[in-house]
Amino acid sequence: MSELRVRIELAKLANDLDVDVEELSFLAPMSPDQLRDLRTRVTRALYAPHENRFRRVASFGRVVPVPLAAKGTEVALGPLVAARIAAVADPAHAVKVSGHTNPEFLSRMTPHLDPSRVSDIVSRLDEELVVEVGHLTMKRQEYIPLARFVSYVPVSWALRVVADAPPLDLLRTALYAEDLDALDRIIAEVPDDRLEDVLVTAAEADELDDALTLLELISVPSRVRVVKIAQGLDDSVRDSLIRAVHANDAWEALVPVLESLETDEVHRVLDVPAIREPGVRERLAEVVADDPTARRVYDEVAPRLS
Amino acid sequence: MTASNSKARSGALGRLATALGTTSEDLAAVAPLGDRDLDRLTGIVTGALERDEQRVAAALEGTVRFVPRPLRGRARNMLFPEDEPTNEPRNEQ
Repeated sequence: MSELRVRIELAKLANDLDVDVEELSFLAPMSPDQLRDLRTRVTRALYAPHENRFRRVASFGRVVPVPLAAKGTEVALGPLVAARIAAVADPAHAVKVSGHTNPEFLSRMTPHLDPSRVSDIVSRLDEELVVEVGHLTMKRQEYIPLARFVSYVPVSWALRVVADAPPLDLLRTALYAEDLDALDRIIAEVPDDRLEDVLVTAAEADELDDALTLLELISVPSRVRVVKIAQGLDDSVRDSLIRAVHANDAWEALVPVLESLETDEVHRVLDVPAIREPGVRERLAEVVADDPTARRVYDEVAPRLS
Repeated sequence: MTASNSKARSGALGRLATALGTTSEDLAAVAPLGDRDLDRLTGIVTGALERDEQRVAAALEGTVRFVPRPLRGRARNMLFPEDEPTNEPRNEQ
């Protein structure tokens, strides 16, 4: 299952290095944590060379009227440089300038922002502005940059950003979240019907691998909720889900969930054509063998699956 | 591992560390990679840093053009001081 997480980390690293993810395939043997550590160092290297220069520009911006600074930021600096300057600017001044800056421009800045460097600015921005910039960034399908901000805005704001997003946009953004505790808090507030839409749409779009990756990233209680929703879906969706679980050998992510479901719910999740294909039940039996509770649940359900 | 292999290895890791502005000791995460992969990664990192430098330089040049011509020299000196390495052309005043 860590292969799916490696895929996510490689996508994030490729985004930061501005290369196609295929170019980094030779890094696939690294663990997700190793790739994350490497990415942190890449980000630092990208920001470090120009910091002094940007500090000077930031200090220059403080001596001109705020509306002029905002206009100059949009017209003269462009989104990349504006983002780098924001990282070293006085937060109070940057907040004032942001209030006079076109949200569309702020959205174009977002992919170039390192949230950890602008957290003091983001935390002071108006909710409506943050939500509007989030909507615009979502529309531009900038999932990785958007996901970085998950832990830097209140859950209620993040929920407003994703509220009307297409299901796959919601899935792709959640997938790239850096702060998994924050992601879990957000998922806890997403209504059941939205999560249902995500699962169904992901199955239709053949993106259940992404849904499984997300399932592994979230807490067990959240996983239980998602699987409970999945067991109520059509046979075809559940069948696709079990096929994806087996193809990715993601059974271990489901074991803690089995313990929290009723036997009938477990049966409903597993009772699809995919479970009867060669090797599938054998692999599941192997995975639950070391977990007495999951093993007991599986033993109760197994006779009904033939 | 022979002494020459060890030296080549520290060389590959060292080149990546130099590109990232850090030390080999800080790159434990990539230490398991072979020399060839380390050098490949160094090439990708170096390319990314160069592209970033070019984008920043081009954006700052755009900033200078936004400044009224009489103040452009001062703006350029602020944005492209002599003591900082840059790809920025310095012939326009």
